[in-house]
Amino acid sequence: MDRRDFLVISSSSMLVCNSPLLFATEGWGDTKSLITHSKITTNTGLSRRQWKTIVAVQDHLFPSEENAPGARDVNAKAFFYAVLSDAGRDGEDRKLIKEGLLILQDICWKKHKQTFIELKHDAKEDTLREFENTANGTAWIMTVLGYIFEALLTDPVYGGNPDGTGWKWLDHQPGFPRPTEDKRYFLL
Amino acid sequence: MSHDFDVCVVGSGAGAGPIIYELSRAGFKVIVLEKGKYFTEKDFFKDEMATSLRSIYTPDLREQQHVVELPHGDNGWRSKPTHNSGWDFWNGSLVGGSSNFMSGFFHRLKPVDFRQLSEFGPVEGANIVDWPITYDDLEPYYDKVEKVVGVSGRVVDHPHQEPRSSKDFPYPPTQEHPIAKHIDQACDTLGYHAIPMPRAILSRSDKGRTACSYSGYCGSYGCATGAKGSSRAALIDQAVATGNCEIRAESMVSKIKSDTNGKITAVEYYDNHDKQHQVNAKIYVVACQAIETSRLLLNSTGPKHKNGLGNTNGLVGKNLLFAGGGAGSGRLTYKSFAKKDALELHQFGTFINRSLQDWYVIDDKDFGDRQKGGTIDFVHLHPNPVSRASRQINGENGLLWGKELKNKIHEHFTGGKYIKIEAFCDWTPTDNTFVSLDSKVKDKWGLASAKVRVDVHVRNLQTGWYLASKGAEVLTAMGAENVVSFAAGAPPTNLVAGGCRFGDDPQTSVLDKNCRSHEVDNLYVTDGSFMPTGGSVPYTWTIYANSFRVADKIIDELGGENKNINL
Repeated sequence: MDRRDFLVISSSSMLVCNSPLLFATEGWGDTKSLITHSKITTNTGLSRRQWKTIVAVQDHLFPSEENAPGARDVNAKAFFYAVLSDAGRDGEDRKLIKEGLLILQDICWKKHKQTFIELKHDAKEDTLREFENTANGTAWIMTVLGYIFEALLTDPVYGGNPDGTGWKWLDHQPGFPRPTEDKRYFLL
Repeated sequence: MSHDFDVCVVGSGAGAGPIIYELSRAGFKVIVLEKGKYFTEKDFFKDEMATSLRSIYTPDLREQQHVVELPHGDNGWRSKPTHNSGWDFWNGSLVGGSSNFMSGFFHRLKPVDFRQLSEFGPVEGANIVDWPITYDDLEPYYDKVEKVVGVSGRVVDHPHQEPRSSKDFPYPPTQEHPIAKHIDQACDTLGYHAIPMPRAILSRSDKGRTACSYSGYCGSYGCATGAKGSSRAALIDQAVATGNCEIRAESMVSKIKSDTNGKITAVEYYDNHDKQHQVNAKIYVVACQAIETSRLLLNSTGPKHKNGLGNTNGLVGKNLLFAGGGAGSGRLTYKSFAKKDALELHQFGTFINRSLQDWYVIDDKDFGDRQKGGTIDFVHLHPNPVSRASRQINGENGLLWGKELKNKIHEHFTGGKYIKIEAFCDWTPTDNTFVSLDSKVKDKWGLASAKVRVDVHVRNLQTGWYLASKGAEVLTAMGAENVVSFAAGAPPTNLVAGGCRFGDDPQTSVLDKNCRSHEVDNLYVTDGSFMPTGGSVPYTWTIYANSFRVADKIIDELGGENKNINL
């Protein structure tokens, strides 16, 4: 068994063995929606509450509408989790998101004495606009939106865009052949 | 002295493929050392994650990066490593190299490109020279590429049509999008000559390769049918089939070793377990794309090559070329057309395939003296949806989000058909665009990374602006909205050549006219490095043609076709 095979097997085992604990820590709960984007995963370093905040931000940035899918309709949370738990990445995104969440919560507290999740729509908007103007605020929001776009418009084999709902909304025609499970980018 | 192989080729892209193909078919034993993996049609999918968002066909910049050096202040330069910089000079590390991902816009150079100094005179601040060969020397090989690699198209008369030995292309044009008809009509009105763009794409199945499937995703994507004339699909697969060619993928060449006479004795490389090996051959061919070729030569010092292999005159890496030019776009808004026409415009999958070369030489007193111009290609907006959505994120007062962003994205995708202008002009060679070795940044094997200094000559911008504005005229005449055009100053990192100029004078060039090192008898360089000026078209066809030309020279040097050929 070479290193590559070991990593595939050990990462699978790790997911099976550790997933419940990992998800419990991070407030995931629904292990059925697990998406992987890597052979090796790591803890995202985000708490249950922080994941709830991310979901609230995603909903605000890309809301669900009757005729247009929003972040929650394309599994944006699970997709983002898969990205941040990819141990093959350099951790810059994890660091950016974690630090940004602290600043965002700080703004919420100073302005509204509430958490982001508890805010009404206009207060969320007001908070995010102020957050946008902080040092890494724009980069943070662009990162969150960027992965929503990936969940919306990449091939469903990566866990977002269920039944091509994002493509249908935008009348977008995917190319062919489409990637199969065993030919996802991290398995090539 | 016995050798492991007749020819050792470093790299497997467009500059390497014809050497590999011709030498293997001539019966010589060929070894190919390619840094990347051996992917085939079975591995290529229309997957934006693989090609663009996670970039799995290019090295991880944490392990292998470049250093880019740009003007800073009045006379200074500032360098920064490319990791996390937004710069990435890699274009495809895999068997077949970046030719796997080309769009296959194939234009030949024209006779005037081979004698720019004689034709137009010097340009201040630029190192323009004539080539040591003429168009006539290369024409038979352009023709060969049409037939062997496979080029589809249709020859039409126009003022800058270059001479051809074959009447027409061996393959009919690929299917055209209805936009082509609109371009033709607009050009007729304006008195311009729209020409069908030749493509390195098979329009009918041939050579064991399947015709284009018109999936709508071509450039940046590996071809799943084999229709695209990548070095691997068109040449290397056939070379391997002879039994004379061995491909060693995931083999990173670290150094070319030379003896006290200056002759190459072996090539050292790391395998995918980072174990070092070496191999020797009678002749060595380096073709790992311009920047990495210069880097490898500079890193390959030896007893007689203190400044790098074949670099006594210090010219290895100098006069690097990108492609100058301009760009633009416009949108044919569906609601401005009758329903039938709008439906037609909405079609997806076929190619626009239209170019203009009316200003390949600009003879316009309002613009200045008669001078070199270029080519305008009309192409679809790249279909990658995540990329398209991401470009809608900026508003007038900050980022957009919420319903406002969603409405903008929806309108962008569904409101009309975008057409892009890509204008190509020469990248004017200067003393301030070159490759050297960085003194601090190294790759994961401890080898010095290439440092790429980039400076833009004002001529690039002037010509790029001129051409792009002509393209914009056409879009406007077609009824396009939101038409914009501009000169592009930043170097397109996927269009790179130069660094090892060929020429007759060993004092002013690195290679002789047959692309053999002036100093090292058993070294050839056959990627785009040889080009002293770039011409005003994408490089790939010329690189292929020149590599076929050099292959003939190498076969001659090895004594002609090997009679023990095993085909």
